[in-house]
Amino acid sequence: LEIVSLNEALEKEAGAFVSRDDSDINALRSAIFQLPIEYREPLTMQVLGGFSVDEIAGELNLSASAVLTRLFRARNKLRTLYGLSAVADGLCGEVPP
Amino acid sequence: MTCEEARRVIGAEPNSSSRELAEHVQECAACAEFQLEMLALDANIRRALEEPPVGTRFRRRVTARPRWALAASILVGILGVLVVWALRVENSLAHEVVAHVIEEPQSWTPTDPASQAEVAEVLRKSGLLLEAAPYEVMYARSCWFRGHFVPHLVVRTAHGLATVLILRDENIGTRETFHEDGLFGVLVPSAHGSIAVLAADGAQLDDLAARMQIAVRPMSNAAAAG
Repeated sequence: LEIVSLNEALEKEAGAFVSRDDSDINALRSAIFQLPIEYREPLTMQVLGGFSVDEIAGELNLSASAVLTRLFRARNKLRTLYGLSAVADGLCGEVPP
Repeated sequence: MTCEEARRVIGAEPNSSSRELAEHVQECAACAEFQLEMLALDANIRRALEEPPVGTRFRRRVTARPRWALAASILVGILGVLVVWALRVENSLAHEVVAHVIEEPQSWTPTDPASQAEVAEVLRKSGLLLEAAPYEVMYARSCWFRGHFVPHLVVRTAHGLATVLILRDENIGTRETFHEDGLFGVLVPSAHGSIAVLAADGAQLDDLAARMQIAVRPMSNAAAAG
């Protein structure tokens, strides 16, 4: 049998140790960071920070309806990653605070 | 509310407590499924942002590798397995409680209060009584959970709706909090098993759990048989 250096094999085949599930999460993470900041910020505040829409609006100096629009659009962009259809975006323009 | 309006609300706030949305998803299976998809997406977003990237973890392991590091990592691994094993039962209980609540979407959006008779019957199936419900019970169902029927209640508190599972057959050592799939929760030991309380807002969980600990009593054998 051929003797293979484990270290070299690990370096070469790093990708093989990444499960499909981890790949999905990595792809999603990458997509989140590619979102424009105005979408990414309220989304992470809501999902990760547990902020309410009103709290996000207060922090970002936006109206609640503007926050709702941004949250909707952020998720809509991320949905397409999963091969899910995007929801029709018939939202009106953001309302200034 | 139309499906288009419902999807806009769900897309912006999958956990929305809007009454109109609740009524809509109760009657529209497609929108209910859409809401589940969005809740799952949120769970993945949370996971993506909370876990370090896999590539980073991997490279950290393969770059510096003195021999003692292998022994140290094996030791750490063994300790890790022991810790995970010690915590396994309670963690999986919290996870299963969350999964159960998510799989019963009709419980998220009750519109009419449950009658006292309904609530009493649900508790009776588990040999329990609710002496004085601390809050209005909006949903009461006897659910099959881990091999037993358990009362699954949704109550309306000052902070909104909260789910209570009375787990007579699940004994836990200490109070445990959890936050999973957008739900905050607490598992507390009680004189009769344990009680799980979950809500979108983590503010009132301990207060509600304490009130339920006081209110829930076991039935006498004769009453349970009747």
